[in-house]
Order: sequence, then structure tokens, then C-alpha cells
Amino acid sequence: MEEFFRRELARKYRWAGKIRFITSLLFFFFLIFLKFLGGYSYLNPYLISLILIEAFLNQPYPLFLKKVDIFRFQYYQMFIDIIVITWLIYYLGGLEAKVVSLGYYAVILWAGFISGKKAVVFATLSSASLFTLVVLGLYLGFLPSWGLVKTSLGLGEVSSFLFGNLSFLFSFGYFSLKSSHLIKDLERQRFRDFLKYNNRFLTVGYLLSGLIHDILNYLLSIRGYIQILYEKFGNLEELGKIEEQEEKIRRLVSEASTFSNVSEEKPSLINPNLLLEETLTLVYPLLRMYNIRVIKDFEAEESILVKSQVLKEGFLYIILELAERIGGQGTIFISTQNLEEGLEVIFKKKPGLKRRESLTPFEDTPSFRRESVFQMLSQLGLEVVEGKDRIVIRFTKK
Amino acid sequence: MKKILVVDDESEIRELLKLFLERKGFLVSLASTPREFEKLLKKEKVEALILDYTFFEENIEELIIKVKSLNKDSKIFILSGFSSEILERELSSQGLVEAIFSKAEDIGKIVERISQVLS
Repeated sequence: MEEFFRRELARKYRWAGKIRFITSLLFFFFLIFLKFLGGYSYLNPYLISLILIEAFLNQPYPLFLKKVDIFRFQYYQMFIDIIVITWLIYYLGGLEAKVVSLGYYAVILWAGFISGKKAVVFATLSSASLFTLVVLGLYLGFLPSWGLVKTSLGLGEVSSFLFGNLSFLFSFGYFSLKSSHLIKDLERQRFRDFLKYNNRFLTVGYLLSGLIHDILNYLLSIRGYIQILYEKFGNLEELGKIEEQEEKIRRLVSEASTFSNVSEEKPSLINPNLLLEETLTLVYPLLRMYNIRVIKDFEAEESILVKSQVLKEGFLYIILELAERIGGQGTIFISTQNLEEGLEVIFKKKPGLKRRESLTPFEDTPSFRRESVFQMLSQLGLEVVEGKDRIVIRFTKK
Repeated sequence: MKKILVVDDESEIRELLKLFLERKGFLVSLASTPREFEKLLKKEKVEALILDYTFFEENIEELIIKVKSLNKDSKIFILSGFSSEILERELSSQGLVEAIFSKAEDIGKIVERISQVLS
């Protein structure tokens, strides 16, 4: 469950990072625009450094996320945002300061979106305190007036400027808090969907596991009786046929049995061609039902060190994913080939007839399924490249 | 004559194992419920036990230790409808069981291997 929230949070941080980058860039252009239009420029090393900090440093890089508590990371980011905005207001001081103060509102709104009450209160109070400090500091003279536009405001103007902005900040904080409830409701719904999907998957797994156990019991008896019949009647052709069919069912069920078990397996050396064959045994019945052909070209000879069950699960998802994209009556090409330093497995599809109904049992599945499968494969040290009509997995010795 | 106790809730499997084991010259007792199993275990001294993995509600390792405390020298074989690879990692590494067979194997081959171990 925590993993779900972490992933969601990281996704939001990435979004915030992109917005921060674009905003900083726009601000940079705004300052250039001022230079040409107004004939004056703030583009000095101080401001450029601030823009660079916001655009490039205050970002959710994996290195940062690893070092800090991901649930607190937003506070560090917000605080840097607020300091940068305050500094810009202090430095600019003129008309532009009012444009920059909009940044506070963006941070407060973001706090409500990404987190909740605590973050909104934190963002509102920090913005209000630092803003008050700058305005009063400039008015009372304990902060040197550094801005390019020097203004000497009277008490009435300063009070109106200060309390006007503060009341806006607090009312915006209240608005952000209220809208964060709505966002939380939407997130809860998303989480419920996630649980529903996961539970359904688990239930199918348990059912499958129980069924396999029973089927293997029956198959064991059937094989036993076939042996007895052989002894009684000798090598009957019909018995051979029954045995052949039983063998096919057994192979299929054994594969499903291994697949449906949750294992803490250790990596072992295995040829990917073999794993692909085992995966195809599992998925053939479904592909046959939807008229999807599989063409194989297995050239790779090397074995790789992997957790075979996890990789098999990955292969299965990819085949189902391509089958889903084909929809029906198409072809999946699977090839393995040697690379200079490893090997690669290529899954490629040839378009088929798009069907309306979903092919896989993952109907209404949230979109992060693919993400999690690719993440799972990357955790195995594999490189996954996804194109429009193909998915390639690379194993490199590095 | 060596005695083997077969424990499985599926009557067909019990009967078939009995048939194949008796042909190899073993004396076979059957248990279809945990109660029956405990009763037989206390009453008879057996050289080997063939246990269905999912038959018992309790933890299989604890059960094996309990069996070993009653029948120190008896050899234990596990028959499982689940993947034997995973069970093997769990149980064989501790030397608790002689072998783990998947129900996807041939009954003839299973009996052959048991007979080799016991001979």
C-alpha cells in the first residue's frame, strides 16, 4: 500500500518539477522581454542563479528522493520555492513583484493538491511570514533596498499592500485546503480501483492455484490407471493417444502451477529461449482463441542470470500487452538474438483486426500496470525499450 | 517387509499408491484424515511416510519434526500439487525430507524412486 502512495507521490513530484522548469523558463523570457520593452534588465548573476536553482536544482531527482523521506520532500521543495519567490519580490520590488507573488499562490495550491492540511498550512504560513518580513523590512529600513526600482511607500500604502496580500494568501490557503479534500476523494477512488484490481488478481491467483492442485491430483490418477491398462492390454494405440493428450494437459498445468506460486527465488542461469517456450505454453490457449499467431526466431544461445519466475511473468505481460494491442487475427513475432555484450528479446506485433472487447483479463485495469511490469523488469537489471509496434528487452553483462 | 504410511485425502491417489507400492513389496497403511494419521503414527512403526503437502492444516515443518520425534528413523516423502522446486528449497535444504515429488510426475516413477531410497 505504501508503495502505491510512494509511486503516486513521485509522479506528482515529477509533474511539479516540469511545471517549475517551465515557469522558471517563462520567467526568464519575461525578464528578457522587460529588457527589450522597458529598456531595463534584472538579468544579473543573482537572478540567473535563482532561476537556475528553481529550474534545475529544486527537482525530484532520484538521487534526492533516495536520500530524503519522500513524504517530506514536498516540504523542502515548497520551502525553497517560497524563499526564491520572496527573494525575487525583495529584489524586484516594483511592478514585477506583484507578478512574482503569484508564485506563492501556485505553491499553496500545489500543497493542497499533493498533500493536505499540514502542507497547506505550512505553505501559507511560510509565504505570509517571509512576505511580511520583506515588506516590513523594506518599510522599516532594516533590510537594504536592493531592488532596481526604488519605492518609498507611505504607511497607508504599505498596510494596504501587506494586509491585502496577506488576506489573499490566507483565503487562497483556505480554498486550497477545501479543494485538497476533493482531490483526496478522487485519489481514494483511484486507490480503491487499484485495490479492486489487485484483489481480483489475487483471487484469480488463489483460485487458479487451488484448481491446479486438484487437476494434478486427477491427472496423477489418470496416469496411474493408464499404466495399469498398459500392463493389462499391452501397447494399445488408443492408450498412447490418451497418454499423449494427458501429457499436454500436464505440461500446461505444471507451467501454471509454477507461475501461480509466489516464490522468493534466487537468480539462476537460464536460457531465455526456454523461458519464452514455457511462457508460450501458458498463453497459447488464449492466443489461439483470438486467432493470434506466434512466429518464433530464437537465435540467442547464451544463458542469463535472472530470477526466472519474475522474467517469465514479465514475458507473459508483454505478450498479453501486444495481444491486447492487436485485438484479434494478428501475429506476434518473438525473436532472441545475441548482442556483443549480452542478448536481446524482441516482441513485435503485426496489426490485426481491432476488437471491441478486451482480450486480457485486465479490463478496466489502471494504466500503471504496464509501468509496474517494466519497473519489475528493470529491477532485474534489464533494459526495456518500448516502441509503437514492439517491445525489446536487453540483457547486458554489465 | 518394510512398512509405508500413505497420507492423502484423495482416495484414488491413496489406492493407486498402495497398488504400486505393494507391487514393489511394501506393506502399505492408508490415512485419509489427520486423526487417522495420528492414530496410525502412534500405533505402527513405519519405515517411510508419503505425505500430501496440502493435507495438513498445520505448518509442514512442525509436522515433520513431530513425526520424526515419534518415528525417528522413518523417511519422509512429500507429494505436492504445487511446484516442487519451491518446496524443495524450503524443506530439502534443512534435511527434513528424503524427496519431494510433484503430482505432475508419473506415479510409477515416484514409487520407483521411493523404492530406491528405501532399499
